[in-house]
Amino acid sequence: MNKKFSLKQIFDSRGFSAFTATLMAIIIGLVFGYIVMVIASPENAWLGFSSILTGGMKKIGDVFYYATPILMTGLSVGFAFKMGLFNIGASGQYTMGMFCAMYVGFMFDLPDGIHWIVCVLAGMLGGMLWGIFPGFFKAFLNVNEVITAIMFNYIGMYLVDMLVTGNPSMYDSVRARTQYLPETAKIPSLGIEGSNVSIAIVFGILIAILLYIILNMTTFGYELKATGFNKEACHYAGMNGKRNIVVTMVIAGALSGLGGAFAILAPTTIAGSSVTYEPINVIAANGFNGIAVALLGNSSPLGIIFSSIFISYIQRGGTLSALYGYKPEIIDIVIAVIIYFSSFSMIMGGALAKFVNRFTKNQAKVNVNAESPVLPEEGKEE
Amino acid sequence: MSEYVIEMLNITKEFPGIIANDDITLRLKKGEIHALLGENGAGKSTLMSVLFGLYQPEKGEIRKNGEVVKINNPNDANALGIGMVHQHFKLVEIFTVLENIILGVEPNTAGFLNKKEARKKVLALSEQYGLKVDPDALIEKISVGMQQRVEILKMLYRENEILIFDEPTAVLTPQEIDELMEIMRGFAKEGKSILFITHKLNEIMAVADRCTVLRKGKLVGTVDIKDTNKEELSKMMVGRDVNFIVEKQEQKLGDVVLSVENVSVPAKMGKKDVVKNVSFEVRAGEIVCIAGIDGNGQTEFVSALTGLDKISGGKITLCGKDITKASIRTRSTSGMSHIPEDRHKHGLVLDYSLEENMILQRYFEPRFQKFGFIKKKEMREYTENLIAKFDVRSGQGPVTIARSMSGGNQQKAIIAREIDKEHELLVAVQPTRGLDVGAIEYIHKQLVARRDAGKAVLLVSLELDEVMNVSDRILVMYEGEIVGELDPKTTTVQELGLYMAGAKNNQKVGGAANE
Repeated sequence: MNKKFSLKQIFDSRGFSAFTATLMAIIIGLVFGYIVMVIASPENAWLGFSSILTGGMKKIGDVFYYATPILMTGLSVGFAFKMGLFNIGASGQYTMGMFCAMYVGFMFDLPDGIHWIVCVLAGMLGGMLWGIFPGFFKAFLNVNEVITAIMFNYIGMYLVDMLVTGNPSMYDSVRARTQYLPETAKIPSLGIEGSNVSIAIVFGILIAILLYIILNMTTFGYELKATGFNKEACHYAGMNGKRNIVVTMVIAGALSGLGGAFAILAPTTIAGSSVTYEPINVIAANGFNGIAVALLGNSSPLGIIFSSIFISYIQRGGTLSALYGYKPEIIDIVIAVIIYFSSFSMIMGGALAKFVNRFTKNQAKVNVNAESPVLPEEGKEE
Repeated sequence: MSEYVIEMLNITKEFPGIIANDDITLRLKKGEIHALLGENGAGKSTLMSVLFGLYQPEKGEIRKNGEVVKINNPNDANALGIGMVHQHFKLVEIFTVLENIILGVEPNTAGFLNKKEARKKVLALSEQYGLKVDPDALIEKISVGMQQRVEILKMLYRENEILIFDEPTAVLTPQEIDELMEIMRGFAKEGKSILFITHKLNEIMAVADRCTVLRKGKLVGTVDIKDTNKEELSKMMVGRDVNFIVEKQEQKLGDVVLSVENVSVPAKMGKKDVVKNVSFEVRAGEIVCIAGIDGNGQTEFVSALTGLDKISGGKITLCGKDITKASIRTRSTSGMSHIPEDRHKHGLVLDYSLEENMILQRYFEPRFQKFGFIKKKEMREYTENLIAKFDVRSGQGPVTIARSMSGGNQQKAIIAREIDKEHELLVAVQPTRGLDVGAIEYIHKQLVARRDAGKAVLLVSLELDEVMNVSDRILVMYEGEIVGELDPKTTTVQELGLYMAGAKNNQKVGGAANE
């Protein structure tokens, strides 16, 4: 009986319905992607599709390598979203974090083992700086954070490109990109053979767990989530909403900034993917990918760990499907469909939970029916 | 042909953890006003939602004129001539009255709106039933009473024969209530059948022909109004005798707890003050009631008093401490408890659980947190204690999501939280709004218990009965000013009404009239 009760509790819980909803969204997204592949090139569809599904397995190290930055930006967006803030500025914070990490990497000469740590911290500070502005404008001037954040994405991107190209000790004008960062500035590798994954992914996961604890166990998390649910009630309860907005945006900025630092400082053999930066006036895509990751992870820090790894996983698989003549953009379609359906998450999760409940209830009824005839004392009948 | 237009037979509707309707039968005759009475959470709204097609019952059937019908959604209900005025109006705020009335059944010529025809029909209906509306006014600009008339016109426009009114009087002033009653009688005379959901016994006695009473999801019975009385109905509804008279101990006046001096509050828009130069004192051991018709500055005054909004002038002192500029948190910790007017907007975080809501004012106290970590065990025990002490009912106890609780229990939870918190002054704004007799009696008892315990209580109310029964002193607010100070023992409802309408003022001549 006890066990059944707890089972029902799990099915009723919001976490469970969010999880099942996401799962359903993923399945629908994959089916949709498969249909698109069949239409594009029927004879290779199954091979291409199975490479999407299993391709990540062959490159598990790369899966984690690419998951790290979007894990951080996903946490950033998700954390702000818990308070009802839409941190679309993750890109700008990411870029600033990356630049600050890079700057310390090039300009400071620090001993091995300390240098990269300082670089990471500098990246965090850079992101924080870019988080303060939207937070401050929102809290004290009531300017919508989305507008400020978008503007700061551009300001950050152009500022960084300007600072990079104007600094001869960082910029290599012949190759139109920065020099390679010194070895001391690189984050230690995790040591998975044939891959580029660094210990940053471990930090990322630890940070996610820390955020989970903050959100669910502390008074700050209590205030934060309450503000996200009902701002007016928090005002009534005397919470300092303005301070909380700024603090939340600073934390969100720090997370994105760390994402940028983790990305640029990763030791890699994939040409051009990190250690060096190419100022080409493009807003960092990892910031926007963070929004997708956060949505898929239902803004929960623990969910975001899995969603970032998942998205990175099918992206790796997607690049492999190019072997069968598919464009890697097919994966963007799949991800888009998944995100689209996970927005329906609560409806679908609710439907599934209802189905499970009905099923367990019927089971319980059957059990009761089976047991009840035993209860009367049979001996007295005769 | 059956004598009943609508029959709901043996309806059972379950929700997770609760049976909202348990084998309920309700029969509606043609041309009658049939009241549906019950406490909050008794299942009235659920039953009507079943009839309106919003819910599907697990068991039971619905018949119209003796024939079994299936109502899967509100469109089906409409096709059968069933219309409903919801407790919370379903109107598009930025549309005009006319646009709202025709919404969903827009008359058109080849896809182009034909507003002329619609306007003619609406005006004719408005004339016929005395439902005065301005078809071109925007919904957001008109009064709540007018909005309700729009909802009624919506039903008439669709030529509905069975009209459901879900607690229609909860938002109306006494005059508007009288008008509504008159309109309902007119409908009944025309042969329309009315289902009238309410928990106000006076209204039932005044207007209904028959009354069906529900209690905790079960049918108690259906009675003819002419064979019954208020006491009997309330006993059927609550399941015990209800005491309409609030018992109070001998008053023991103490020190001044709250002192308000020349307080003015600016309007949200514009420069004019909506509260002008208000001064009064509340002492320990008394209930002071601010009476007045809705919209005369009471809401703004309370917002300023509790710190939600700023004042433009004056001084507020609580227990000898100047709190004119203090933060909400400081006011709260200095001894002010506040039962807010809008329990959904301010009182509760609806998506939080009951236990999380219970510590909303106290989560930062050392009792509930250590190094910034919330003590979940303490929170759980505290909530269980309050649930037992204040009889807060919910599906799953402390972990129930506040949104899923009934209105009365949500209010009880807020009252439990605010009363259990350390306080010298309790500010209660319309604490019984939308609640049933049992809950009202309970809340009045709690307020009086605070007074008897030597606390100061400031009650803001629109209900005349409440004002007269509970308070020790009445302050009447009219257009942002205190126009009268009355003693409920020596004054009458009629006199109070005159002050509320602005026809009398005993303050301008130095308060001499009251001495």
